[in-house]
Amino acid sequence: MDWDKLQRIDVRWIYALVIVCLLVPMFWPLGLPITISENTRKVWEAVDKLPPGSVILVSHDTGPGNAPELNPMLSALAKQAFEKNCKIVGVAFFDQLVGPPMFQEYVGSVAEKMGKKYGVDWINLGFRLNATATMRQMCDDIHGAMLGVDWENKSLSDFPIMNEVKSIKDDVDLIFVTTVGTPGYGDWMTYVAEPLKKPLTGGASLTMYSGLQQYIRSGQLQGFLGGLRGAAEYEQLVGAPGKGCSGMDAQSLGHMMIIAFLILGNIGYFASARKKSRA
Amino acid sequence: MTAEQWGAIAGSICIIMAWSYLFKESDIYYFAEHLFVGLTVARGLTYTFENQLKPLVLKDMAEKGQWTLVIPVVIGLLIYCWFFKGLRWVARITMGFWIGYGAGYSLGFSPPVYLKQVFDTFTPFIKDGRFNFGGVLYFLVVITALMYFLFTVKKESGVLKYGSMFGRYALMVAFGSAYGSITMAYLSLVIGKLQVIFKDALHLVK
Repeated sequence: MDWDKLQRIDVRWIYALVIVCLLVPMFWPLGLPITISENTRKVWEAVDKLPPGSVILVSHDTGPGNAPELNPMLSALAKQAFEKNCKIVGVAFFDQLVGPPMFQEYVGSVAEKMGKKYGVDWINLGFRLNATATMRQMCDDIHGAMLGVDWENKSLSDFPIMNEVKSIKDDVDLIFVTTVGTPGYGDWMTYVAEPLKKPLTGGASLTMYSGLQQYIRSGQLQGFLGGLRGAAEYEQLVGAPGKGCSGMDAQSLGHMMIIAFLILGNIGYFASARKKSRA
Repeated sequence: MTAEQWGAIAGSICIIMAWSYLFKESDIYYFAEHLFVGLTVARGLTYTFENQLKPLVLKDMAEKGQWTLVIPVVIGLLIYCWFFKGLRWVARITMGFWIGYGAGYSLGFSPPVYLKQVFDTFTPFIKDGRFNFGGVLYFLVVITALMYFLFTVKKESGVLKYGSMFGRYALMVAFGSAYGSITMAYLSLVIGKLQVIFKDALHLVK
């Protein structure tokens, strides 16, 4: 067999096969089991142990690329939080075009189903520049930091929820951050969570998984939802399978295919190297 | 059809146009690229004006009378002096201000956060009457990875040689783990886009 061929496969065939592998389970779900990791359980527990009526500050710091990974986390969080009658205050610091509208869509759709009102049970404060300075100001004065308006430029004093939530220091019970980099956990931890001794949890793109281990290990980050997989686990825990769960079969099959290609590529490499050394 | 469905259809067309790059570079791809850049810039400008500048000028300055905010605005605007050859030095004032503020601000808050992680490195080797393998491994990896980055001493023999070698392998394992995570993340992104096409736009998937 000509093993060299394995190293010269047209990359477009690989792209096509990946797409097929991801598409098949979407039409014919395989129902592969999803086990709940300890980190996901810790996130669920962080929300679960909040007393009813607590306020959760959500920072949805995502761009267009990573939104599919992080958006399902918001739906699951909203379901768990609203079931406990907790209130949600949303901000965004990464991308002004993605964070606020995605927060509005995903938290809003759950709120609508559960009969929660905008401005009473949840609010979207929108995007602000200069994340770290805004975070610091929010510790003492959320109204001032957000320039007194929500994401649609409506005055914050018109919303009952904002009459209760004046500062992170006195009125926020949990910080939930979904992030793809900077600003992210490092900033929230440094400028808000650690100085104010507030619990910090959330989820992030899986690209960040390795780099966050020290925060989880030290307990500075209470659990972690890792990408779509973490979102799927969280959806299972809150009993609301959604976009996260529906993508897991496809992801598992995609991984199997990539592993198969890695093995084939290595077999090809070693076999052709052996052939050359013999010749 | 609702606006949401139109949005999903337009999004799907854009996704396919962008993905055409995987097959071959083409005008379709470049059209999608320029469309994306144009839309992003336009919306970004509008959003910044409406949600940042307007409240700053109308509320904070005009309503509340906080006219001192003009000072940082002027310092910020000095950056545009970069475009005038003789005045480039003025733009450096903005940069200097920004870098100085950033460094001072960050150093003021960072140490306690990192110290907690440093303390956490030293966990007991025996925990609950059992050998704490994870803790020992963590400690060894931290120490040996630091050894690998010691460039001012020769590491030709002894503890430093083998320690830095172990550190290098540990770093390679960490990079492998990061690479695996990135692969998984990218697949998630493709799945997300496929869901937009087949679920939100075409309604072929439940």
